[in-house]
Amino acid sequence: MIKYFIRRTLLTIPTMFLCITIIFFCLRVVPGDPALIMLGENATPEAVEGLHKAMGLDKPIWEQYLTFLNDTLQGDFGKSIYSEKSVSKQLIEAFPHTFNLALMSIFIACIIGIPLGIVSARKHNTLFDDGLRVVSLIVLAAPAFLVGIFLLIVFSVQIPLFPSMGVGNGFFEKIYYLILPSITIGTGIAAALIRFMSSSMIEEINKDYIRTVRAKGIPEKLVFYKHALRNSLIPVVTVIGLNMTGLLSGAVIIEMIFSRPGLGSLALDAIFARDFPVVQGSLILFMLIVIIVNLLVDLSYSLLNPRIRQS
Amino acid sequence: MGVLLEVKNISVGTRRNGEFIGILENVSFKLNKGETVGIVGESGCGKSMTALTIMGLLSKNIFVESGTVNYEDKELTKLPTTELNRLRGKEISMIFQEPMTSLNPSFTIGNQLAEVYKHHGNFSAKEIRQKSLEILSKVKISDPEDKLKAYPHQLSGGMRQRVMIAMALACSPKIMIADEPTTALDVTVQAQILDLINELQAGFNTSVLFITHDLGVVAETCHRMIVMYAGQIIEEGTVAEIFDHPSHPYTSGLMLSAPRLGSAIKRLKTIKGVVPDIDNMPTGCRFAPRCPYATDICFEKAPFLEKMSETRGVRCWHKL
Repeated sequence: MIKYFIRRTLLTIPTMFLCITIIFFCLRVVPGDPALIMLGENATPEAVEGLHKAMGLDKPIWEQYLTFLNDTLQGDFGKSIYSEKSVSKQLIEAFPHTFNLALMSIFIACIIGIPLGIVSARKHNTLFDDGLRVVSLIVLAAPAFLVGIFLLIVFSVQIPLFPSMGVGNGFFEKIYYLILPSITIGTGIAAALIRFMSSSMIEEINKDYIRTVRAKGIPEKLVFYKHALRNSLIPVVTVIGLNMTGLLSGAVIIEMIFSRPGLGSLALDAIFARDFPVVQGSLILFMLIVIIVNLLVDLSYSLLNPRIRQS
Repeated sequence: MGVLLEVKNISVGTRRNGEFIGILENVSFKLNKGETVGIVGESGCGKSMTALTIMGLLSKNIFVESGTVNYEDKELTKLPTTELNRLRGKEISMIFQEPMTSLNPSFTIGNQLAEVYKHHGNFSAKEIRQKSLEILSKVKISDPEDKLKAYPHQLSGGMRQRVMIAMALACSPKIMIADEPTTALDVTVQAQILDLINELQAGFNTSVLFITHDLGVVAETCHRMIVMYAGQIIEEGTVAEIFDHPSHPYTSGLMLSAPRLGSAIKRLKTIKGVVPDIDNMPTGCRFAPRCPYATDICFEKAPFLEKMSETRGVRCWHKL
């Protein structure tokens, strides 16, 4: 098991290297000269050249690549063209907000989705199950921005229970500020989880090994919560992981609706402003997040599924 | 030899648009103490359904319409699940056809075996471990210590079936139902498993209900046999009686279609046609459309299971 963990973790290194390379070359291909953007349309050729030199853009591409690689490995993503603030600093400032939102949303999705999914499987083909299916389909179909605005109007404007913007200070206030946005995202994911959990559980409960368990005289509760549950969680973990990556790369719309700072809004602003270093830094961070979350999902699979652990 | 289990006029089926569609029809038989009874028939004739009815493991849309399953002083079909759970695995246990899929892939053999002891007795963790090791060596699994920690996918089909047998015999049950336990295994392993079941049956003095489509297996392991066709018992008797002189054309057809070593016959006989669909059961004898001896009466009137002696019964208008 430890061997598998180490091997799986080491495998992320070549992946990261490849991604960083792709990010570098993609950004060189994108039209628009950063120096020209910084200096404006009317800059003299000499000034542009001077800036090229200062930014290292006059050097051959492979040399630029090596410098970039070296800087990236040291966590130096350069400075924002506009604010002159260090990119790493901006990312480090924005990341916790996004991370908190993602974590809280997934938490809400799990505590709603997994138990309801199990209940829906246990009460398969009853009125309760049908009702739950209708509700979850409605929630699934409702776009997040609609739910977000709706919650904002009802629980922040009409009934001023929750703040409408910002992130708050201190642990409890932060959670308080997170409630509306994470419910907005969480319920959507929960609706999907209910369906996944339920169908996965129904599939498991009809398998041969469940019949064996019942033939042993094991109580129905254990049949569900021990035998069927562990096997049916495997596909659900995948869904949770996918959603987590999506959320960590910035829930842009939700961040805008609730006026929260975060990676999504940081990257979006940088793209509009053609702030290359910030775009580049955000991309690398997103890449890291995707790779790490996937790693965690894979590792949690191996906890659930002995066949992966031992192969 | 006292009667241990008595299945009496059991009819099992499903309901479609309010109409009852029978799968098993008036199945009755007895299982005596220490006896092995074989249930034989083609696929889809109701063998497994009979076993699942006894175990109370029928799927949700299939139910017992009438009849009783009596075990000691209990009527199993009326027993609530919690009561049934006290018997299942302890007094009546079952092994299944597919050893590859019949164990939970996510738990170790030890864990799945320990469950049986945990729910059918008051044992300490140490005792359970001891008992598990004992039963694993009884079913001739080498390195039982290692196997307790193994997951099902690390074992071969034959090994898994041994584990299944170990789980079934863990509490020395009075009845073991073996539903085609060797069908999915290759021939050498099949022989080993059959030997094992025979040996353990004698050792534990367990009554065995052996479900199979393999007449050779019946001849080797059973005292009495029941031949089923399309949800009905069509012939029953001791193994010697039936093998000596099959009275039902279907039984005789089954025997002719089994390959025999050293026989000069180049081509095996087959029984033409297939088991009828539950939606279109023939009105008369269910076997009539495939029977070479069928006459008008066979198509018009359903034969009854005629008792010919204490052990013997045949459902046919033209007994051979």
